[in-house]
Amino acid sequence: MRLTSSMHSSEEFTTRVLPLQASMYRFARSLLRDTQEAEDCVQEMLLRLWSRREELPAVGNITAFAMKMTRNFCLDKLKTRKHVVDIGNEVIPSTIDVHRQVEMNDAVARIETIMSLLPEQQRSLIHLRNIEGLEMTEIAEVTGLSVEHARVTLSRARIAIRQLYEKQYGQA
Amino acid sequence: MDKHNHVLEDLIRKYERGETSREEEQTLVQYFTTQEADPKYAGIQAQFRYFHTQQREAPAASITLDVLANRQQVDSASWRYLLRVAAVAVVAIGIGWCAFWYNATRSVATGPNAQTSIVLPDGTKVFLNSDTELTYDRQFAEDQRTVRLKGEAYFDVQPDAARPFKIHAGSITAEVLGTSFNLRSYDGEEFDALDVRDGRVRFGAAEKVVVVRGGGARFYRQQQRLDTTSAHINADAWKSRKLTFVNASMKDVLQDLERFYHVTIRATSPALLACHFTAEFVDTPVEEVVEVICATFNYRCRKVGGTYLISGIPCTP
Repeated sequence: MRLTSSMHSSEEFTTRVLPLQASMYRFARSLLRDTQEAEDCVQEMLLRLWSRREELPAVGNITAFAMKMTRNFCLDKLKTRKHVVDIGNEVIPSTIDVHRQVEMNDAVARIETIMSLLPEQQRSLIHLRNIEGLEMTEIAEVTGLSVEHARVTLSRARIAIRQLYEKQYGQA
Repeated sequence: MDKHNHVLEDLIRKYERGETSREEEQTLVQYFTTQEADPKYAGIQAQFRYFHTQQREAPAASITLDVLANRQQVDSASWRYLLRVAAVAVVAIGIGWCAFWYNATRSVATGPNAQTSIVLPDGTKVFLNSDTELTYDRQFAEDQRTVRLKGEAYFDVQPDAARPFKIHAGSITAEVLGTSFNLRSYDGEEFDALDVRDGRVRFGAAEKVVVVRGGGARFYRQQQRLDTTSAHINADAWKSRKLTFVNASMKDVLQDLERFYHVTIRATSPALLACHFTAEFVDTPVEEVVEVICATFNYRCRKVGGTYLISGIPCTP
């Protein structure tokens, strides 16, 4: 009996949790601004989820749950960290043709800088919605905000990005 | 062409209000990553291109089940070693500490914009708000633990049945056995205020009252009158940075916001204050809180001079 149940939870884990690691990695990286630490974070989160795989069927939305764990872990890490500004991680777009790559690099690097200026909550909301494509209800669960509050803050973040861009680089 | 621009313009505005669906956002991504848009959309275009590239990022190696199962075994072995190291470290630090204590009375004070926390000799934790001073003995007496407070502090008193913990603040005293509570006693205010989160506190001047968990008391200085009430849920918001509203009337909400953020908020009609509001804010700037309130009730919020003004149609009860 026990063997069967753990076999089932392994399968569940493989089909429902493991595929989330790319999202968790990207999110951790945007919070921690460090590739190695983001990878360590994902491994730690997966380990924790793995040791609690029996309880997973009871969790409602696994995506929101895993992303929430990731965010809390990263925020705790940031609290204990001293203030070191890391601008070394340049973003390099991967599958775009060479000619476009040059102009893309500019815009991408600029937004990368602007994103790092936003407060964490705004940055997280933008990441969860615009990059990971989570639903507003999922985002509310990850951040612990009401859907309305999340929407208001997301709106502010989007406007802030545009305004900061226009202020720095003009509209040309 | 014109019609197309109009549609795009509307979509972008909707996007910036945070109201676009994922399909609509996909449309914008498509539009901005497959052509050069009008220069006036530079900021928007850059965003969408950035998000598009970011979606492709992935970790160097993918983690599989084998990796996880293996690591789980390794981790439990290293735990025991770590515990031994930690024990040695604790003893070393303990020896260093003993050298510190020599002064009879100690005092801790905060300035206008500072907050701090200390641990007293018996293990009691005290969190001090701004403009506060706490005085205590290096070594507490055998039968009593006494401190003096001027200002506002949150106490997490270490239980000690043999030694009651006594706080002198102006003309009132608060006596506890082991409990958590907020005590406010600033110069120039109308009353001294106690809000108990846990435990029991005996509080008052000539006349005293026992306040328990969830309760509060106010000593009105001019009238020398002691009133009991229920504990104010946001009494220690200054320490927790958390504002909690559970079906609170807007009147109470605005009052708490004014006190916590030191701002002025006015509603253009008293009927607006009858609405009830439930939300929790942690470390949130005041502008955002006001925005959320206005979005929730569909009010109009403006800031005129230094005052926030809220107007609109009152909600039907």
